[in-house]
Amino acid sequence: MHLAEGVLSAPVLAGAAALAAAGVAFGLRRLGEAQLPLAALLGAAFFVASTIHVPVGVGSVHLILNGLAGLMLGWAVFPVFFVALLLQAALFSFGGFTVLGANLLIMALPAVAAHYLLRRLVRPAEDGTPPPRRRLLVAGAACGIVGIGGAAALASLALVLSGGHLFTELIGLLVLAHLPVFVVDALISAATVALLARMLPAALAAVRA
Amino acid sequence: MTQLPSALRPLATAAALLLATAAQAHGLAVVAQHEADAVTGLARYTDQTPAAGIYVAVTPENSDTPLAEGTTGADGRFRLPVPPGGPYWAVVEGEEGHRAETLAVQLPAAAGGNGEATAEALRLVREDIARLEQQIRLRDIIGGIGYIVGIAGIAAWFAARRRG
Repeated sequence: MHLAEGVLSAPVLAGAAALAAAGVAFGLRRLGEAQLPLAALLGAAFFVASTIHVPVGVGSVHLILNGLAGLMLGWAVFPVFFVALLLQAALFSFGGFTVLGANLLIMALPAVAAHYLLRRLVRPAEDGTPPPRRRLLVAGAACGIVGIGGAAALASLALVLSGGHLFTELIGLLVLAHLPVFVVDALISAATVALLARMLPAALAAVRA
Repeated sequence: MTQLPSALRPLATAAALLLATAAQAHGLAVVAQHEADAVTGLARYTDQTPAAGIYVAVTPENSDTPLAEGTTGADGRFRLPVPPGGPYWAVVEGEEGHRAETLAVQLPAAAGGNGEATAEALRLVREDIARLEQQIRLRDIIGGIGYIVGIAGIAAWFAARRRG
């Protein structure tokens, strides 16, 4: 879902870059010292997950995991994804430097949305009892759906705003093509949240208000 | 777009899902060379699947106006006839707005009668080199993780200084 160079129009690129820069600045202020190791871990997971293609059936699928990172980090995903996308552009020429802002918004905004929509589901109750397992699974799966769905919607929006004549028919296909990613991302995110709740409840308790 | 008959729609959906491979692949890469009377080449996605049936054009060096246009075959290869001259650029445009361009390297005319065989051999070698270059290597991924750890370290250092 990385948009390539030379696709988006200049105003869209400039606007996205400005918004992304503001997001990174705001995210850095929200990134507490205690959150730093978790942020680096999720950043590395995002970087590796969207780099490695796993053959599934006839196609190949890769994880994005942006929703999961968003749930755990909130606004701090902006600087975290910025680093990961920068590395991907530099090392593998995924995306590119001029579209970095747009790609960052595409990945990070749905992640922030996942944080605000789903954080209530995963936080332990006042007396410290963990949320029921089923609710955790739902929250994890919703991370995948909000994260990937939002990213696909934003990528489509960026293409529409750029008025690409080639793209109107492609947009439906873009969403369709990511259905397998949807499913896999939702499953992995659900499993991860459930596992965290069992092995490391402190990580979920630390999800910021 | 013409409307598909409703009975065909589930089929079209299934086909689109099966063909989704290309859309999930990240980058698009192209290797091309200028042979005697045509520009030939190969378009691939970074996961090494051939970029089948996408737009390809040949343009002169200082212009965006295509001299020849076409689509890639099922194996991602293309061959577009061009007038003598050059240098030429090959441009491919795929799904999700992926785009790649490369200079079509002029292959020297081979001596003797087997020019076509030489060109074919050179083409295969160039494709192999391009494949090696594009491969996402494990060490790049590990290097990237190293960068992330390092950046987190720097951030932690700043945080510690601020507190101290």
